[in-house]
Amino acid sequence: MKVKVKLYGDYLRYGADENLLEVEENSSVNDLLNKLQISERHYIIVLVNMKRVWFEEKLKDNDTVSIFSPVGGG
Amino acid sequence: MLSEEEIERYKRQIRIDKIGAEGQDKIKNSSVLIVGAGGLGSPILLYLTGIGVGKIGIVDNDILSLSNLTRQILYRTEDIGKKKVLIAKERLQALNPNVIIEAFPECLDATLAKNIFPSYDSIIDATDNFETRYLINRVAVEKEKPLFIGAVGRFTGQVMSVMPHKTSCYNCVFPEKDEETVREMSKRNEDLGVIGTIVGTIGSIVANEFIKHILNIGSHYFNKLLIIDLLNNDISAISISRDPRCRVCGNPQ
Ligand SMILES: [Zn+2]
Repeated sequence: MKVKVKLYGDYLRYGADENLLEVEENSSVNDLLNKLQISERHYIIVLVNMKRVWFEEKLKDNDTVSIFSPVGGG
Repeated sequence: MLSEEEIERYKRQIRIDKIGAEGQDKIKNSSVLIVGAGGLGSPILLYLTGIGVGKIGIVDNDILSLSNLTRQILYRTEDIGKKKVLIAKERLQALNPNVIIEAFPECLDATLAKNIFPSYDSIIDATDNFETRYLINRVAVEKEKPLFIGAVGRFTGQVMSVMPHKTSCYNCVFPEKDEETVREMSKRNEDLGVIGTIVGTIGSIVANEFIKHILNIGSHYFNKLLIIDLLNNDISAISISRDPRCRVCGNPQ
């Protein structure tokens, strides 16, 4: 199945800002992050179809996954 | 009612059909507390004072240092070593004597927040660390105060607006981690560095969010997270929603 991955800010170094990615059926968010070689799990925020999800969440065909982390400076 | 001086001073914005004299009156009768008088606080304070918000509170305990001057546009080289809020108050008062400026040269803690948040219509988060951001969000939600949040790092900035118990709060999107992680996040952010231009961009947008809220016009970043990356010129607003399990605004099990 295919998912659309959108990377923001810091995570742009792991790929293009928008990418269509082939992943195995039944993949979780965690599997996708591993596939992208993103190992960081402390600060990262993942949205699937604009909704905040956790790492165990299963992905579906045609999902849009947004990946970013908060900045905090003032 | 507006005085003759006010009508002249504000005429360029009164001329906007969505504002008018009636809108200017709403601005005059509004109040806002800004936490942080640094990079984001500077443009926010300058614009909101210029625009004529009735009462502005400022909380900051910092002393101006040389490396602040790349982006903290309220201050001058000769101010180094002085308390930021005190210089800010003096400068803003000179910009617009109609505005009441209340300065709190203190670190924001839970007691101070709970004491002073109720005296303002809205709260603006322009702080530089995650500990204070979580505190502001908690107390703003508890006191039902609309909250406008700006944050920056490198060339990147983020904006979100919160209507307590109606739209997503800061903790819905960025759930608070343990104390050590939060401290580490603040430290990492400091290490990222920041460019003055993104601070000006984000500060202006946050100030604009507050003004539109007071006037009840236009659209807002409620249930949205704006991410601006001025390095790649990427501007995106991500839709977000309340987390029913949120420890601040939801019903955690
Ligand atoms: Zn919440």
